[in-house]
Amino acid sequence: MNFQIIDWCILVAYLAGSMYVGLRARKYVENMEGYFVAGRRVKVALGSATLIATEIGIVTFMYFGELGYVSGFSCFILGVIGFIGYFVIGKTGFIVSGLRALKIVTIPEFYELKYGRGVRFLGGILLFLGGVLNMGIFLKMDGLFLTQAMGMEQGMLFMVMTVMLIVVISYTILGGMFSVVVTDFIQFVVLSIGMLVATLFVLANVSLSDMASTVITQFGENGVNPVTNPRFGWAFIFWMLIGSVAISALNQPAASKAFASESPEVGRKVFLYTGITLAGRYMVPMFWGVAALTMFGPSVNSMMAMPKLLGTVVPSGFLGLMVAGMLAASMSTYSAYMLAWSSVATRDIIAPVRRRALSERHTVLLTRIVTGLIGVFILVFGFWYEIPATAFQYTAITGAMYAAGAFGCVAAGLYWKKANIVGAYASLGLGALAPIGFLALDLVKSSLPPGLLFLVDVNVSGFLSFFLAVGGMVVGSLLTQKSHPPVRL
Amino acid sequence: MNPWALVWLIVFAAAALCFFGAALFIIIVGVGDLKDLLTTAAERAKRNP
Repeated sequence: MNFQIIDWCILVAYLAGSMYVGLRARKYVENMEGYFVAGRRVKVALGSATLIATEIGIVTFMYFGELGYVSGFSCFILGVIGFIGYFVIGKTGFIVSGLRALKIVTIPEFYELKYGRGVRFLGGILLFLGGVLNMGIFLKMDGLFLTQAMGMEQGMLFMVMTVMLIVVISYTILGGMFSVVVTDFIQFVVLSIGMLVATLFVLANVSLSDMASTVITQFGENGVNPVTNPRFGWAFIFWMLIGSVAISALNQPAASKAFASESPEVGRKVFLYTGITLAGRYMVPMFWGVAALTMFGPSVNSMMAMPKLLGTVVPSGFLGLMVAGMLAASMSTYSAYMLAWSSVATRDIIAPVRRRALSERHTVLLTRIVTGLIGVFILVFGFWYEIPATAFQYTAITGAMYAAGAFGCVAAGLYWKKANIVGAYASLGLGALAPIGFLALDLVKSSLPPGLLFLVDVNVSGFLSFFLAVGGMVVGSLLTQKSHPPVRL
Repeated sequence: MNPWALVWLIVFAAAALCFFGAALFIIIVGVGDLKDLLTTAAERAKRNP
């Protein structure tokens, strides 16, 4: 077992500290706005810390590490693309500032303002399903990481993961966004230290020239050229370019952080600061993956290689610090995601179908119940579901399920005068079609005729979802301008 | 060393420096933001018990 008593002490102290701080923060929640968006008083640096912490989890380390291991340096292109996406949003305020100015809490609330209650309901369902499925594999990834990095047995692993989830669920349920923001900040500090420790030990144990020659030996040009690499190519690059803007701005957990900021300008700056760190937080775990390939060769399970490397090169004492950092990353992701999806379920799915409006107290209570249920779901789902494609592509495709339609609806709703309700329905439906088709067809892949095999290409499916969503919005709106005139905001 | 591999390693170094540099800046300034958030929240709670 790699983990020694000193490492356990660091880990237990960190978990106990998080629980204490998270629960203490609940006393600052004075009303519903305090619970869902921390009273909209979050400033730039704090907002950036909480957004970055939300978007880094063990799952992101795992899938970027896996990509580095199976594709060499060519996957670094994702860091460059992601940086461009955030930079565009950060410089222009595209979507984020417009939504923040409307003082909404969830993205489907915008659908009701612009298109009507039915669109909000459908958009809420898609957002909730895509979002919860998206986070369904997080726990599995966390488990794989901890087994390899800590050398932990399955029984003990299940216990650590369950304790971690209970800690997160407790403070998220009780303190809402206030607890999330406060704990996110602490988790951001711990995860930054953990990442630095891991990177320094990797650099001390694996030479850069060895890494470069291993990549060329294993992959040839494909290891340094994303266009020729069969995992990527132009379809993937285009999908990621559009997706990095759409998913970044319309990912409800990330958007919630912009909604919690004290002004639309602060919301825009939060994305700008976060964008500056984006290439690094993508490329650092990818770099660990390439280092794992250099150290162990190509025969190790691709998902296990990176955590195995960290478990090998990081010594006891520092290992506890690094694992605390990784758990911090995951906890901040879980808390933000659970709060975001439970807010959507309560406010956009349950509330619209009730005849009487929910009171503030009942809305918060219902959100707390749904948060607990999501926690139970990810505990169960996370341990039995088999992931198709790579973990990164699974999360990207489930993300596309809601982000593609949301992108069509929100971007057009904010910036195109002719966007109407028919276009919105078409955009949401068609945007979800390709990803749902991919997930369903992947199960019967072996019996598909050769002509339809392109539908189970994850990159084609992801690209198609955005193409169909935008096409649906444009065609649907233009054909029905007279029967369904657009609503002005 | 392959020239493209070298380019990617330089890009990685720049990205990692940006990440850790920005993280340090965010942590230092963020402490003030956090204090400010909690102070104003506590004052509001006192005004509206």
